[in-house]
Amino acid sequence: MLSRLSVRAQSSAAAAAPNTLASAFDLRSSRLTSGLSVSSVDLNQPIAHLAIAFRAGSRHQSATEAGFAHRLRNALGGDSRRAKGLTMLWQAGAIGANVHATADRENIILSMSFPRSQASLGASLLSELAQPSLEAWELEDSLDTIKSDVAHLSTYERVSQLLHEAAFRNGPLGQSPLCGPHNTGSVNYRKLQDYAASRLVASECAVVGVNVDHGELQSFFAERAFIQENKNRKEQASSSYHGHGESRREGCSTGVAVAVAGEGPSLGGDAKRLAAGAVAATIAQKVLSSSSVFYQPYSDSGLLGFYVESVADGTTAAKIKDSINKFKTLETSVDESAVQGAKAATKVAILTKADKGAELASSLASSVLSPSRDLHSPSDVAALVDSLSVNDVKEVARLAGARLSLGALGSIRHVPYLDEC
Amino acid sequence: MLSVARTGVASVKNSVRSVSALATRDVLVKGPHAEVSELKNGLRVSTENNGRPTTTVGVWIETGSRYENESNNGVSRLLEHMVHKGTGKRSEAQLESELSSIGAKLVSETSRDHTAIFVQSASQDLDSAAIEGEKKHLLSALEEAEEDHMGVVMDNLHAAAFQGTSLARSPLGNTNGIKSLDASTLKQWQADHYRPVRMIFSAVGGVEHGKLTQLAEKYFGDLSNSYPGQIPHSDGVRFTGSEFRFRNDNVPHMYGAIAVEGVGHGHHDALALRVASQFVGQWDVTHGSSYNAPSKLVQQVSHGYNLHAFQNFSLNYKDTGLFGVQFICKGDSLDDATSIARWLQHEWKHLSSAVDEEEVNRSKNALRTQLYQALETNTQKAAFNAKELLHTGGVRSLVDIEDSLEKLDKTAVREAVSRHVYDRDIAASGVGRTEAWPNYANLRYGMSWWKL
Repeated sequence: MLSRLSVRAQSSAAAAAPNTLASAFDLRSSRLTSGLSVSSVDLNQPIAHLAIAFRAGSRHQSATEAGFAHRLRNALGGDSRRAKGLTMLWQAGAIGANVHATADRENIILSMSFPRSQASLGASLLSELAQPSLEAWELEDSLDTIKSDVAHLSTYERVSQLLHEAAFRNGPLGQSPLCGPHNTGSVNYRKLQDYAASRLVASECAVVGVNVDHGELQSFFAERAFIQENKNRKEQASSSYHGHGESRREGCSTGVAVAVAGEGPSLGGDAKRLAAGAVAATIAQKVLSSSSVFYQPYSDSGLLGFYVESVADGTTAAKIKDSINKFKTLETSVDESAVQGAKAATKVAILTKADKGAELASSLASSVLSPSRDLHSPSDVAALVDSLSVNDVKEVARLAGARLSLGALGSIRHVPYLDEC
Repeated sequence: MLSVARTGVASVKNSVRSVSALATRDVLVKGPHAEVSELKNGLRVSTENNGRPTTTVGVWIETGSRYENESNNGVSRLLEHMVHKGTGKRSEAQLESELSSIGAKLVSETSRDHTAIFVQSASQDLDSAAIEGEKKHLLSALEEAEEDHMGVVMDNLHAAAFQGTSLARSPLGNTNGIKSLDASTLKQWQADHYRPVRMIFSAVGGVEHGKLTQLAEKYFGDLSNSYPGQIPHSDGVRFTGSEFRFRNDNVPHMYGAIAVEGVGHGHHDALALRVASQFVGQWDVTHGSSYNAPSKLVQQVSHGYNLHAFQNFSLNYKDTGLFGVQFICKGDSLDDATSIARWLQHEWKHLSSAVDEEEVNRSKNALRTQLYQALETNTQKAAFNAKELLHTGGVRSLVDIEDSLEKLDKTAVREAVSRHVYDRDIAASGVGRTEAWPNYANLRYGMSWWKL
């Protein structure tokens, strides 16, 4: 049901007069008495996108609940207490819906895209699919998918997990969003039901609709949807960035993959710093042109760094060392002209990304659930980027370069240790 | 949902119909439409103002590998890459810095029947050192492309299906072709192909048609339509039922595709075949649904045959196309591979004679989601408008497409599939562990024999 052969993504655009979107981008948000928040924007496009997100990602797992977020994600699409999974999937198919479930370290998001005429059926299917009954036989059915997810992990995902372990140690963000290879067998369904009962609840939930009527969406979730109310709210454990850590794993390949990162802005902090992180990442990408730079803010911490995958030979160590040193001194590359160029590129990237309704719905849902609960339209974010000074970006770059963490996989003998750089 | 579960589907359908008053089609009617005008020299300008803060501007040119021959295969792509090396008016560094100061990126691509260059116009002066550098780049890209097994499958599928015609050639070029290219070939190619009648200047975003037309006049108005060389032509089209296997047991899976000849972009069966293609659907092992999937084919093939993924396709070129399925399986059993092909052919035969109205409606909705979602960004829509102009001479509005989609019924789908798929010759292409590739004659019988 996932469409994969979409038109090849290409980004290119020229900046036009600002604020033309402000009038068109009418972002509405309301909080229901149950604690659930409903937001929507109608861009007058033919396909509606709905996303329902829960703060139920891997960071919310306790030590005995490793892999639960992954199992919960894969159980979506099964029976709920009121409806059969089979019926719901067929109804979703009948309205031409693509259903997509993702789980990251923060949230589990279930999203759906379908022709907008079908909005009322789509909303009811989404709310019901998001409340799986998690009976023992349901979990049995999804066991195979857990195994194949783990088998199909990309090198980047594996290295990224190593980096998170190095950066956040035993903190919540160090937990893998997926089950480990040793951990794909059967699971106690009652424990998983407990996890779901504490996480898939209204107060931890955000619903976002793109190209739907706000009033209808709101009244549906206020009156007819069955999202559990919270009974015993657990406080979220915080995760802090440690740094100077390394997690290295020997692999059988002749290549090596390395991810290096420093502390980045968090979603809970100042929105301006968050925007400055994006600009710093754009500059870092220009400086480190042969690696790919990533910028990953979490609710109470964040990572800004780069990833590089190469064949391991005599020159590899020197190249990686060079990249690490360039990243350490990223601050020195932040000057007036670099910031101007990076600001323009970042704005275009933000605005272009918002053109894809499905991505917009998921990213808005994530930002509603972030600690600051600020809901910014893409044009607000672009304006924020515009208002940044060189010093704002410098400060983020300085922090990112100060205490590095490293994750490496493959021929790790070619990877220098951080204190040797 | 409660009402759905208790009162059944009928009531849901009614409620859906009542809201549909302000629905998909209305949005399309209200939505932005493309404006098209033509400069004196024949260059067509298409703009669509959707009021967004970003804009994609580009040129789509009717060129590509189907106009090439064995000795210059790859020239379109090389020329396209040269655009990034700067132009007569701007050096590479200038070009890059001017574009990046407004946050823009130059993107280009070449396929079998067109080249697209966004944001900046084509080059006029070509420097031979830069050409040599770019040739090396293309040769290494060619090596890398061999690692993309599904890409190789599709290239080989074209090579088999359209053998002896120009559509058989890959836009990536071939090693000998690329090595023999030089500045004069490139200049000749540019002179023959980058002509205003073969070019569409297309923009979507926050743009005014008048302003864009002025820009087009300023930068492209002096291009002439006279042909000192020859007018490029592509040979005719001929589909040959055939097979292309590339066995390499070091590849861990069997990658394959099976297809019949499809239809051209403007053909009246094009939409019906896309609906049929949606009915076949797609699946891979990471999908949550298997036995319970809303597709008969997925239910049948997702277990027991070591299938990893399959994906329908319905490609349309100007005058022909390919309609089929690509798949990845373990490749250790002839029975498994044959069974997968059987189930697929079973769906095609079902489509040709027994598909019912409900099934067609499901597939139409799936196509709506796929089609309209793939036109959400400025770049996607600008490319769509340009290709419509190149292939059909006009830009169909999405309302027109929605209306023709609405009119499609089971008879139209059955007839289209009977005409183009049932008992037609097939082209097959396999890469990797193809020792277990199904027998060609057997596959061919399966296009009409129900009991196979």
